[in-house]
Amino acid sequence: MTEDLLIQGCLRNEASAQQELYHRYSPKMLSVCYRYAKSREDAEDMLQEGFIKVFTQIHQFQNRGALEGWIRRIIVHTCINNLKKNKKFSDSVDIIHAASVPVREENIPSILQAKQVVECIRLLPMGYRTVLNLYAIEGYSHKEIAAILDIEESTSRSQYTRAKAMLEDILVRKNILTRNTEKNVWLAAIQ
Amino acid sequence: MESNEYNSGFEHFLREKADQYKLYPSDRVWAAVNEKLHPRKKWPYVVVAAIFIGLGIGGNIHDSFIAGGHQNNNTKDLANRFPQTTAVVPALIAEGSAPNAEKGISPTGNNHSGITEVLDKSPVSPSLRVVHVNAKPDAADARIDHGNTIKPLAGHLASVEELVKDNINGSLETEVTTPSTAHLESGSLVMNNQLHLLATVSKNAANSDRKLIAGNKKDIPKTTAIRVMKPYKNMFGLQFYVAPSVSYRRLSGQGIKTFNSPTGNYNYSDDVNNVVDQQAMTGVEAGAALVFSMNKKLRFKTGLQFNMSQYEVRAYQNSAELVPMTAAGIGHSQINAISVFRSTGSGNRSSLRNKRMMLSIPIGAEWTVINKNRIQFNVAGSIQPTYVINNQSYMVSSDLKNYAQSPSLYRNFNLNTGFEAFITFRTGATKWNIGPQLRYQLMSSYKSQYPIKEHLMEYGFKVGMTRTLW
Repeated sequence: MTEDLLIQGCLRNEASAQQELYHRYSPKMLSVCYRYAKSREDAEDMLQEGFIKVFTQIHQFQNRGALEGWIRRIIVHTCINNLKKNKKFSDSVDIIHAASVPVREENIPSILQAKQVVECIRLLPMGYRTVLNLYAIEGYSHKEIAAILDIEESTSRSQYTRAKAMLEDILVRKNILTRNTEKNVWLAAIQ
Repeated sequence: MESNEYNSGFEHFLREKADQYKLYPSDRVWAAVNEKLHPRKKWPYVVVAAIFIGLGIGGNIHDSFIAGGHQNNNTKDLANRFPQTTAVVPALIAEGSAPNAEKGISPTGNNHSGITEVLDKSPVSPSLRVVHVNAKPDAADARIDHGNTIKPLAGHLASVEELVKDNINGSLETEVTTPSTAHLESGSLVMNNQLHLLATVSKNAANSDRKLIAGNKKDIPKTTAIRVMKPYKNMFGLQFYVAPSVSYRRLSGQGIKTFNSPTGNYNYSDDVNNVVDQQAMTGVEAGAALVFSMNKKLRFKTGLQFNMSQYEVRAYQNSAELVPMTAAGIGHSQINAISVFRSTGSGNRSSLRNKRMMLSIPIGAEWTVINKNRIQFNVAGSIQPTYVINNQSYMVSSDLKNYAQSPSLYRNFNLNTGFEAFITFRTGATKWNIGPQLRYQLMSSYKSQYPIKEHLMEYGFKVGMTRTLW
C-alpha cells in the first residue's frame, strides 16, 4: 500500500491503516526511543505515546516531506519531553554534573555492529547521550538543541564535544572502531 | 536543521549504524495505542453492573422488610388498618369445645398447643379476609414458616401480624407447622378473595394427639386431609444469572482461490474449514429476566442479557495487502480490505482475537420435567433478538489467503437461540438454578455478500437465582 493511501486511511481513523503505519515504522522508531530511554520498557512507553500523537496529529502532516521524517520528529520530541520530566535528566545536561558522571562499564553483546554501536551510545551519561543523539544522529543544530533542552547553545556544544570523545573512547576500547590517529579517520573494525 | 559537522566521518558512521538498528515492540504497545484511538464502549458494563447492583439492593430491602422490625408495630398497624375488625372468636377444637362440624377430627384432651383461626371481613377491603392464627402462650412448638424465616408464635399478636402483613400484599400462603409434636404435619392458609383452609393432619397420630385447625366452619370439609383449589401464587419472579462459556463458531462456505501455473491462472473453490486455524476461547453470559409462571410447570420469561463471545484466529504477519472480501455482484461492487495478516505462511505468527459483545432480549419458556419437593429438573429454550454492540473480528478474505477487518460486512442485528437443562433447588424464598446450556447464532455474523457464513456457538454452565416478586 502506498504511503498516500495509508495517510488517507489514518485521516479517516481506520484501524487497519493505522495498524499498517504502525507496523511499518515502529521498529525503527523503537530503536530511536531506545537510544534515549533508560530501559527497553521506557522506550516502549515512549513509542506508545509517540504513536498516539502521530495518529491524533496526522492531519497536521502536510505532505511537504517524508512521512518517516515527520513521525521521527514527533517520536524524538516525545522522548525528550519524557526525559525532561525526570529531574535527574535536567541535572545531567548540566555540563558540570555531566562531566563528573562516569561511563558505565558494561559488557556489550557482540551480535551485530549496529546493535553494538547503539549499546555503546547507551553507555553514555544521559545528558551526553541526548545531545549526541540529537546532534549526530537526528541532525539538529546546537541552537535547536538548546531550545529543545532549555540549555545554552554553548552548553550543547561542549556537551557534544565531551560526548563524542567519550563515545570514541568506548568504541575503540570495545574494538568496534580503530582510530587512525594521523588521518583522524574512523574505520569499522568489524563488519 | 543545520548540518554543521554532520557529514564528518564519525557522525556519518553513527547515523548509519543507528538507522540500521531496529527493535520490534511488544504487542502491548499497539494494543495500548489502538485502545487509545478506538476505545471500547464501556456503557454495556455499566448498565449490566447497575442492573445487578440495583436489583441486589432491592432484594436486600425486600428481605429487611420481611424479616426486620415490622413485628413490633403490628398491633398498631393492625388496629389502624382494620379498625372495625370483629373480635377474635377462638374455636378451641382441641379442647373439646369444637362445634359439631369438626367432629370428623377427633378432639383431644391435650390442650397445650391448640391453634385456632377466625375469619373476619375487613372494612378496608371487602374482598380481603383476615385470618388470625391463635396460639396459646405455652404453645412453644407452634411456628409460622415463611419459607426462609421461621418465627415462633408468641401469642395472638405475632400470628396476626404475620398474616395481615402478607395478606395486605395480595395472595398469601402461610404454612403453620408444629414440628415437634407432629400433630399437624402441615397446613396452609390461602387468602385472596375467598378464604380457604388447607390442612393435613397426621393420620398416624394418636387421637389424643390430634389437633385441629379450624376456620370458618362452613368452609372446612370434615376430612383429615383437606385440599381446596386455590389461585396460583408467586406468579412473577426476578431471575439473575451468569454463565461462563466456551465460545466457538461454525464456519461454512467456499472461498475462491487462484492457482498460478505456467500455463495460466486457474480459479478453484476451497472449503473455508480447510484453511482457517482457529481455537475456542472462554466467553461469558450474564443477564436478568422477569419470570411469569403460568402454572406449576410452565414459566415464560424475558429480560436483558449480555454476552461476550470470542475465539482465537492464528495468522501470520505480513506486509499490507489489498484483499478481496466479497465478489462483485449485481447491485454491489467488490469490497476490499487492507490486510496485514495471512491465513497461511511462514512469517511471525500472530493470534487474533475475534471478540464480540452483544445485548439480547431473550424470550423463552421453562418447563418443569421432574418436581421432587425442593428440587426440580427443568428444561428451557429461548429466542434471543440480539444487537452486537462491539465487534472486533477478523474475517478471512474471499480468496481465503488473508485475515482482515471489514466492518461494513458485520451484521449488527442477529438472532440467537438458547437451550438449557437445569436443576432448581430452593433455599427459602430463593430458587437456585444450575445446569448446562447451549447458545447458537441462527444468522451469519456477516452480511449476505460475504461468501463465508459464521454462526457463533457457546457452551456454558449457567448459575442463576430467582426471587419471587409477587
